[in-house]
Amino acid sequence: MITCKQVAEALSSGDVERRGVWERWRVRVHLWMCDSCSRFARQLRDIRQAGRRLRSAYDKEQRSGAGDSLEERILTKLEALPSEGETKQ
Amino acid sequence: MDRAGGPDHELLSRLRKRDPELLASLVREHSRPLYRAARALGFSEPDAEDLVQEVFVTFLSSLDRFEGRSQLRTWLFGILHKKAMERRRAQAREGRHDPIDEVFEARFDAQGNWSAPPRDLGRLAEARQLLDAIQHCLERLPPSQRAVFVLREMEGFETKEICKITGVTVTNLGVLIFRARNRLRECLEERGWGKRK
Repeated sequence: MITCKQVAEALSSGDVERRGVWERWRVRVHLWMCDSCSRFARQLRDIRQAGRRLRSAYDKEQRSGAGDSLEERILTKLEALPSEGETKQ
Repeated sequence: MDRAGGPDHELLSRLRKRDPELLASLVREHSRPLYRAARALGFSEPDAEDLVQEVFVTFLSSLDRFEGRSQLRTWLFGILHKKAMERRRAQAREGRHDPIDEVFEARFDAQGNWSAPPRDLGRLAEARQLLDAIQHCLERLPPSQRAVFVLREMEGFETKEICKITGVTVTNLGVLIFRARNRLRECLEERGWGKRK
């Protein structure tokens, strides 16, 4: 019988999918029967979703800046760099 | 452009000549993901932008080492990771021992059953509170754990790619992800997630 701790370790390190069919089935059955472990799995899912929301927030933050866009500012800098042929002369 | 095959001589030759069209498409495709990863790694808006510029400058000045063997995205994130760590100069201070391992252990009894079961995190969290909380907790992660969390959970990189970017082994990556997730969980529970109103 797989323990709650083993299930929590497998879920936290994200290697459940890399385990064999039997192992994956044991984790799935355990999650089906154990409220605490399924809550733990939900926590990890919530954290992943929160990370994705944060990612969208950073995307919006970038677009709200005044003046040239980030891309334009980077391009201006890159275009000012000498090409390899020029630097080796 | 973003290919996983052998050396792409045409791509390299155009990059060496600073082909403006290619540079523009490269910057358009990759600057935003690099910027938001830099922000998620804890850099301020101007520092994140500066870092992204540095990534492209470094990429163009080290084309000899890039042969198109790895995906361009992975290569650029590898430079970002290195630059971010250089700026932080913190990786060396992270020891092998991490107190989060003991916090995790303390959650279970000798039989491996929960002695302190987890709470339901998301149900009660408002969107704004959730963002503030995750940002606050991310800031408390050690740099290498934060980096793997950003790459895996926010940018969706695969294990192999994260190992290439950060230079850690698959086993070590599992440990870092394990610690990052559990530290975030503990931090979010402490911040009041899961407490019923």
